[in-house]
Amino acid sequence: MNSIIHTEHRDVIHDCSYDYYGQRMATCSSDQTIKVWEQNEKGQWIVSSSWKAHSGSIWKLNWAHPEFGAVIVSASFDRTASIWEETAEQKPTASSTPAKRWIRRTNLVDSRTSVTDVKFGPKNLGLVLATSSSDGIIRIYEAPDIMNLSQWTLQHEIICKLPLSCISWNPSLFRAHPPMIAAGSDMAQSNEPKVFVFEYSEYNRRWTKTENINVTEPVHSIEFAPNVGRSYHVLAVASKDVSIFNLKPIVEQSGNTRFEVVQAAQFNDNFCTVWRVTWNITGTMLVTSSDDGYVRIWRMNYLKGFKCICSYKPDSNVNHHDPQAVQLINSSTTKFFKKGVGAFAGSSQIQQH
Amino acid sequence: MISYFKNSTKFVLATGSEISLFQLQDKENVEEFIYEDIKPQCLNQVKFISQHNKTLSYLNSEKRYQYIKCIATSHQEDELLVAAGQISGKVSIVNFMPVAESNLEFTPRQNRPSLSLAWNEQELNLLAMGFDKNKFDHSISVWDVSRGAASDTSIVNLIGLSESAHSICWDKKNLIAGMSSKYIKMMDLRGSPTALTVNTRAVNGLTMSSNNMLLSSYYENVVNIFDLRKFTEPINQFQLANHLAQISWCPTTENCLLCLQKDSSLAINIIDIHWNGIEDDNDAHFIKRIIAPFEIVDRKNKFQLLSKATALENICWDPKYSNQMLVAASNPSNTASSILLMDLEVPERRIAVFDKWNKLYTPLSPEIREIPMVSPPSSPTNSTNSWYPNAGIMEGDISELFQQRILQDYGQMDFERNAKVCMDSSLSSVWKMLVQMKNADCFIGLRTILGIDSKSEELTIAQSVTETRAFFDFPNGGAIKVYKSEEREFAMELCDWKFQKNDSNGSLQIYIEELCKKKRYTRAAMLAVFHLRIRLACDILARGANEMDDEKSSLRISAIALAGYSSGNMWKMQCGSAQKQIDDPHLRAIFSFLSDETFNGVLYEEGISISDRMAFACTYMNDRQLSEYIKQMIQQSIDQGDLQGLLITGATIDGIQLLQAFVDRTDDVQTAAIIGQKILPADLQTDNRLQTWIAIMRNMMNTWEMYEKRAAFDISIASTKNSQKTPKSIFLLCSFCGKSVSASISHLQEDARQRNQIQGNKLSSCPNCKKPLPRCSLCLLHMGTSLPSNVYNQSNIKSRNIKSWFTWCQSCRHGAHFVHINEWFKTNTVCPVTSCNCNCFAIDLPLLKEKKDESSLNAQ
Repeated sequence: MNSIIHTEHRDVIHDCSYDYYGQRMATCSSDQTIKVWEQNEKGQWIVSSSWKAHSGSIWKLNWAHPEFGAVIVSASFDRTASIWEETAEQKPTASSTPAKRWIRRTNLVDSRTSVTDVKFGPKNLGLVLATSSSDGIIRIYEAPDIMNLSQWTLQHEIICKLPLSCISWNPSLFRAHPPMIAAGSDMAQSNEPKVFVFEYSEYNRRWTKTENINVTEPVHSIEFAPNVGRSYHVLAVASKDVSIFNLKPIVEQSGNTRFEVVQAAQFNDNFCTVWRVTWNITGTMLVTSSDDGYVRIWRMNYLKGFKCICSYKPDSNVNHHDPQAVQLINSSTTKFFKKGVGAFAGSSQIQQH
Repeated sequence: MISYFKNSTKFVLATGSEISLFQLQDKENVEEFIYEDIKPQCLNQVKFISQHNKTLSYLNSEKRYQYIKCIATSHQEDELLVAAGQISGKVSIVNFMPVAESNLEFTPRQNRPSLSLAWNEQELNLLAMGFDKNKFDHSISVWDVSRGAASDTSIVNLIGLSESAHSICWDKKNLIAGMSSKYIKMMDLRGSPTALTVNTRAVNGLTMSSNNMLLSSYYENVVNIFDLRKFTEPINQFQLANHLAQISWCPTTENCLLCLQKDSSLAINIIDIHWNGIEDDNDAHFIKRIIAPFEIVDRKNKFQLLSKATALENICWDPKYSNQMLVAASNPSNTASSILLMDLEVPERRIAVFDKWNKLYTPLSPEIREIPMVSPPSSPTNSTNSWYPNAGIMEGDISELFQQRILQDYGQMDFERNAKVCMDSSLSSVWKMLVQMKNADCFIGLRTILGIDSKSEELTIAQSVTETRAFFDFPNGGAIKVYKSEEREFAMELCDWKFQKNDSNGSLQIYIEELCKKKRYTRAAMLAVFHLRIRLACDILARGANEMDDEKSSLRISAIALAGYSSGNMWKMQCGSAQKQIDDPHLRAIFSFLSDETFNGVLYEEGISISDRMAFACTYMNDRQLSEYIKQMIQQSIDQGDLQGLLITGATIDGIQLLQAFVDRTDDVQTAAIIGQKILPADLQTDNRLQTWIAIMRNMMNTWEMYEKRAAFDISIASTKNSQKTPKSIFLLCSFCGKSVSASISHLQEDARQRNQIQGNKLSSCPNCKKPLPRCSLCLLHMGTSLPSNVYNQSNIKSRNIKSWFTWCQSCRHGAHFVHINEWFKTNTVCPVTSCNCNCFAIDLPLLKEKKDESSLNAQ
């Protein structure tokens, strides 16, 4: 059941993001617009809003937690990041449905170069967001008053020497884990490590770099897996290939945290550069998109090995299974297929309960 | 070299001395495009591979050339005009139209290679020709082809005496040429030639972008990009790894530049340039893609088209279809000199994201499409492989398992039911063990029962009495030491060895009988032997051999062997050496027990459940050994994340550690949250780890919109004895006296005298100051709820009639009875109070219901 509705992003789509409930999706593109999509009863996605948001390609966007309202942040090549809020418009007639509009609440203009990524922080930190930019600075903003989205203060600037391409918050809800950010750089000509992990120290009130992860190829995407109560963090890095790192905190006697970084898996995505990695809700499935136009789905098995269960080329409508594409450090002989019995065909079925 | 004709599917391919005309066509009568069926098509020394199910047809060729250096196809749409520059400097113009016969030629005054050719796009008959350096000749000649053969009248311009023209291109009327490795000249040829000059070494491969704004050129491995409006210096510059062979702007997508490098034999670089047009800085953003077209096809289809020396020669964008191109490669060492040609589409960068149901969506330019998860059919060998190695029912991702369990109220029922709905056999045995612990109402674990302190080195275990026993029904079996203490007995009871207390055979017999009914003969026999009843064990095994399909007759032989038990060395030696050949862990344990006095074969036999092993240890190990063994077992179960170890650790801090290890191993945070919340004592309920697991589960259920299940989960947490109640967060204040109405009500409850003052069991005035409560803005009656008739009762929570509840808008503070306001907002979105313009209903976003109605209207 492939439902297709036409819209008009006139250029490359760089990012898409679900809201908390997965009911809406926002997409952004080089055509400088953001579109918000909603699913109708038939499961078709329909554009509910579309607006020109920036004066340059929009690289990334992200939804805030619904507690803060319907809020999107977008990062653009025009050196800004913008906060958008959906509002109901006042209408003179009482009975008509008020139109929804997305309003720019603020424009974060501190970066002197392209803002390459932006992510809202975990909810328990309040309304915070982090941006990364090509000048190699991570900026952390906070809205002190969550009712006033037009006021953001720049809380921290973390200076990395390399141009940054992507950023990810550690989503852990565990209180003993301090706020943590990982960032990646896509600089091509150097052999330095290109993934950095920063932690916020409540005591010093500043962010400090805790780890360099040794990925020397340019990094295009980075994402922490949702932490389902594990004592370690899982980080996926998209570079020339996909690497999964486990970061296990070791508390030193001095009180500083260090991490034992273990490369849990590495798989070569058909010998192509990987542009994007995304986890599912439990951090047990991974989707990668690579240079050859394929989207591949990897599932973790109980031995923590990854297996490509499906590869798909969106333009061609043809699915492949390519068992040779698997290369695991954790060489498991287990094969892993078959989706669960289709008891969860759609959200409508669930809502009955 | 390849070059397309404008807006056409025809193209020319120039090789050495030949120019061939080809056409690309869609294959006819092909219903479905199947990628796997790509086959190379061979045609006139050309091997053609198509990604788009196209066929190549050969139309014509022209052979009378010396070595061809460059070609250019005319922009005239009705003619197939090709200019070919040769090594001698001769430029020939060929018309492939069948009727045309005009074959014009231009020969420069001095013989030297022709380097570049360019047709003007507006004045279609103007051809600019660039040549190598010669002292006595001009390097650029512009020829008006419509005036016929090259003569003084048809040659319009002669430029650049004793210079060389490496590359030339047109920008409308302006001719741009990279000359003498030093500078690029832009010349307006309409009047007297005036030139703008930029000094740069990048003089090769001049091309204009599709929007006629940007000009690019290269030298060595550096690409320069110029803006024609500000033609003084490159606006941008970037380097590639190797020397360049060709650059070309995509005709359909803006700001997309293709670069072919000389030594990166098989890969193409495609670079998206994002530049904001601001003068003062050079921070254009490049997104580089690398494509190796033939390698991909070769690897997938195993054509073996490529040899080591094969290199990409030339690339030409398709003039019509975006992101498509023709790629030519050849193998110089191959004498047959066949050319590989491929119709390639540059794949777009795709993003795909999982939604919360593990469905995958990808936004393509015109739509959002679901990616169907097609998996290959699973063969019988892997059907048991799923999240848990031994889960029978669920296959797939753990999030689906969570959802299934939530729908079946996992964790909401008694432990026995959890064992059924957890959908995993090893977990369900954990739940069964927890049932035993619950029945004994003892979650403190064996370690605490036995009084073992895992930190201290000293022997803290409760002291036991030694007894020597003989086998009950096997007279010449010898004697064995057993250890007894009250604590040990209690521990064994927890391990389900309840038949210890009364020494009579009765309870053991019954238990064994039950096991036999379940056909678990070997375990029954093992229990019999551990209780020093060898004859009984022999009987059980014999019975098992009779009733079961005992293929290897292992039961029968075991029975015989067991019957021959003697304390002599002979028997023991045979037993010891036979250990490895016995498959069944319980049988193995029997013989190990009888032959090896250290009992290691029993204690470290992982095929036996932890509870049986623990009970065994409690019987046959002395205090020191037992305490060591238990410490070891705790460590082992934490290392393995084995929840069976909860029996030993109990609901202690070690138990939490064990749960954490279990989560680390299986990611099953649901089970950890439920077990932790069910069994941990009050002081451990506040442990950060447990609280995190609970928060994660609640968060997931919220995301899945399983609100009622989440509420049930919350209630079950709140109802565990020791948890704190969350304090009320909303209070209703009287607008007159400012005192809390609800607090006064609870006060009233105690005061029976005042209760009479409230009419009809309904409160409509402030119990404090007796002023009326606010009116419902719709029915205009005073609001107020009926009082609870009975005191809040934990086990029997009654929801009061919701109809008359207070409801109010958080922003305008106007309120009404729930039932009325609900009715109102079905048709309105603004506040029911006349003068108020508050959009109460619309404040809560998103309005999904409405949106859906709208969208369905749109769809129609």
